[in-house]
Amino acid sequence: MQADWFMYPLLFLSLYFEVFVLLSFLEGWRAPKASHTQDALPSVTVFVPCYNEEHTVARTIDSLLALDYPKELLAVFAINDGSTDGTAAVLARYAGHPQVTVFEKENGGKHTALNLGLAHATTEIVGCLDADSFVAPDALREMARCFADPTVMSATPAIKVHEPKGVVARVQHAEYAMSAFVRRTFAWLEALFITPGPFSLFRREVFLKLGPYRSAYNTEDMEVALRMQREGMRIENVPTAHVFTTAPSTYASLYRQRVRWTYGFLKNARDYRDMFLNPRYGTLGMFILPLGLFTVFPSIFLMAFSVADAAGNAVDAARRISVVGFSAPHFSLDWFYLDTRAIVFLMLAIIVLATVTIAIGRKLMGERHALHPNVVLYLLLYGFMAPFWLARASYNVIASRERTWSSEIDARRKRD
Amino acid sequence: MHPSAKGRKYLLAFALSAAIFGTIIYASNYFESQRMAELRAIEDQISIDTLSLDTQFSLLEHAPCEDTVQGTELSHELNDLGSRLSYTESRLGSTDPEVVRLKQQYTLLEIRDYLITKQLAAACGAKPVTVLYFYSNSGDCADCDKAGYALSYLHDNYPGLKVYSFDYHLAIGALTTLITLDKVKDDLPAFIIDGAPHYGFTSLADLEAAFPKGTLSALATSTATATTNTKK
Repeated sequence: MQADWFMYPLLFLSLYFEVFVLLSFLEGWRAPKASHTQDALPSVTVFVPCYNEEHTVARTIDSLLALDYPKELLAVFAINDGSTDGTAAVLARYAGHPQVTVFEKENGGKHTALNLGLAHATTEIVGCLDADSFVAPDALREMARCFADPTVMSATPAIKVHEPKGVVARVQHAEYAMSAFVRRTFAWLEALFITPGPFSLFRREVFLKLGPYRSAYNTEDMEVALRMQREGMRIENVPTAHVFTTAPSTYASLYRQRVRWTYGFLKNARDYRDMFLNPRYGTLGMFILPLGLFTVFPSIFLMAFSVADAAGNAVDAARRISVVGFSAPHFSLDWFYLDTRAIVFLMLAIIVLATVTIAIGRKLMGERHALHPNVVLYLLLYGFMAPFWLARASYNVIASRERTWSSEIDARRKRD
Repeated sequence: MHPSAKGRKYLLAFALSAAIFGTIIYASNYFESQRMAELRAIEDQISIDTLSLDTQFSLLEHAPCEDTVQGTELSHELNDLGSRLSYTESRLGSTDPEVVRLKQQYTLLEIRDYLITKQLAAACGAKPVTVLYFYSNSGDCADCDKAGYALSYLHDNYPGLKVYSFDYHLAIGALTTLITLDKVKDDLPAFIIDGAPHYGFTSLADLEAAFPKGTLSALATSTATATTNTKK
C-alpha cells in the first residue's frame, strides 16, 4: 500500500505527459498549415559515416543513389572512420561514381567523420545517414519540400525498423511508431531536441553559424539539436519521409545502444541545464526537457517496485511448493477477486493512451493498420527492458563512465 | 503560440489528467465499498442461518439431525466468506479497522459453527474431524504461511475436514475464552486436532501424522463437507 502511494505522483506525471502530448497533437493537427512555394529543389549532400559497417554500408549508399531526386543536386560523402573490417573495400567499389565521394580517415568518432564531410560540403542542405540505415526512394523529396519554408533549419524523418525479427526488434518496431508520433507533436511544439542519425537534414548555414558537430558524449545528434533550439532555430519533422534502420536484435546490443543514448541525454542535460525551466525556450524548456529528465527515475522506481512485488510472489510460491509441492494456481472469475486498486486502473489508463499514441504514429508513417501484434509485445516488455539501461546510464553519469560509438558497434558485431 | 494559449493548454491537460485520476480513485473506492458491502451481506446471511439453526436446537430441544445438510451449507458459506476476507485482508492490511471488524464477526461465526458442528456430531452420531488453527499476522509466527498452505492442501484433498482459522491476537472475548478453555499457548502456529494440541509446523507429513490414525483416509472418501478457509 505504501509503495502504491509513492507511485501515484509518478503515474500522475506520466498521465499528464501523455494527455499533454495528445492535446498538443490534436491542436497541431487541426491548425492551418502554412504553404510555401518551392521554386527549385535544394542541393543536398548526405554524409554516410561508417565504422566497421561492411555488411550494411552498400545498401545505405545504394538507397541514396536510388533516391527520386535530381542527380546533379545530390552528393553522397561516404566517410570511413578508420574501420578495421572490409568497409574500405566496399567503399572502394564506389570510386569514380559521379555522385559519391569516399573519404578515409583515422578513427576519431562519428562527430569527426561528420565534420570532415561538413568541411568539404558546398550544398545548401547537408545531412547524415547512418550506415546501418537506408532511405525510401521518395524520402528526400518529401523532406526537401519543408525547406521551402525559410524558417525551417532542419528536418527529421520517420524512422522505421527494417524487417524486425525476434522479440527485441519487434518491441522496437512498435517503439519507433510511438517515436514518430512524439516527433511530429514535438515539432509542432517547437520542442524537438534530437536530430537522429538516420537522415536528419540541415541547412548548411546551421553549422556555419553554430560551428561543427561536437563529441557530446557520443550523442552528437542530440547536442546539435539542443544547440539549435538554444539559438531559436526551427527543427521540423516529416513523418511521410521514411527511413529504415536495422534495430539491435539482441537485448545486449539494445542495452548498449540505449545506455549510450540515455547517458548522452543526461550529460547533455547537464551541459544545457540553463534551458531547463527557462520560459525563453517555451514548451521545450518548461515541460519537455524537465519531464524527460524526471521520467528517467520513475521508470527505475516503477521497475524496482514491480521486481520487488514479483520477487515477493515468487518467494511465496516457492514456500508453498516447498510445503505441498507444485499445483496449478486457482483462478476465480468472481469480480470480488479482481484487482481494483487505483494504481491498476492508472496503469491501464496509461497503457491505453500509449496504445493510442502508437496507433497514431503508425498511421502517420503510412502503415495500413493502426495496430500490430508488436504493440502488445511493446506494452508487455518495454517497461521491464528500459529501467536496466536507465539505471546503468544513471550510474555511468555518476561514475563518469563513457561508451564510444565505435566500441558499441564492435560489441554489436561480435554478438550479432 | 501565444503564451496565454500555451498556459491554457497546460491547465487543460492538468484538468483532464486530474479528472481521469479522480475518476479512477472514485471507481477504485466504489469497488472497494461494494466489496465490503458484499462481505457484510454474506456475514449477515450466515448470522441469520446460524441463529436459525441455533433456534431449531432450542425449539426441538435436540439437534435437528434431518437438517445436517443445512449445517454443511453453512460451513460452505463460511468457507467462501473466509476466502473473501483473506483476500480483503491481503489488500487492505490486517490493521485496517473494517478488516478487523469483519474478522471479529467472522471469528464469532466460526466459533458458532464449530459449536453447532460438535452438537450435531454428539446428537446425530457423526464423527467430524476438526482442526482449530491459531495463526498470527503480527510477525511472531515465521511458519504460519507454511501451515496455511498445508491446511489449504489438506482441505482440498480431504473434503470432510473442517478447519477453523483464528487470528490468535484478535481482540474478541469469545476467542479469548476459546483459547483459555483449550489452553492454547502462544507458541504459534498452534493446532487443536480433534481436541489434541499441537505446536509448530515442520512439514506436511508431520502435520498429517498428527491426525488420529485413519481419519484422513476416511475423510478422503467421505461426502464433501465444506471447511472454513485457512489463512495465515
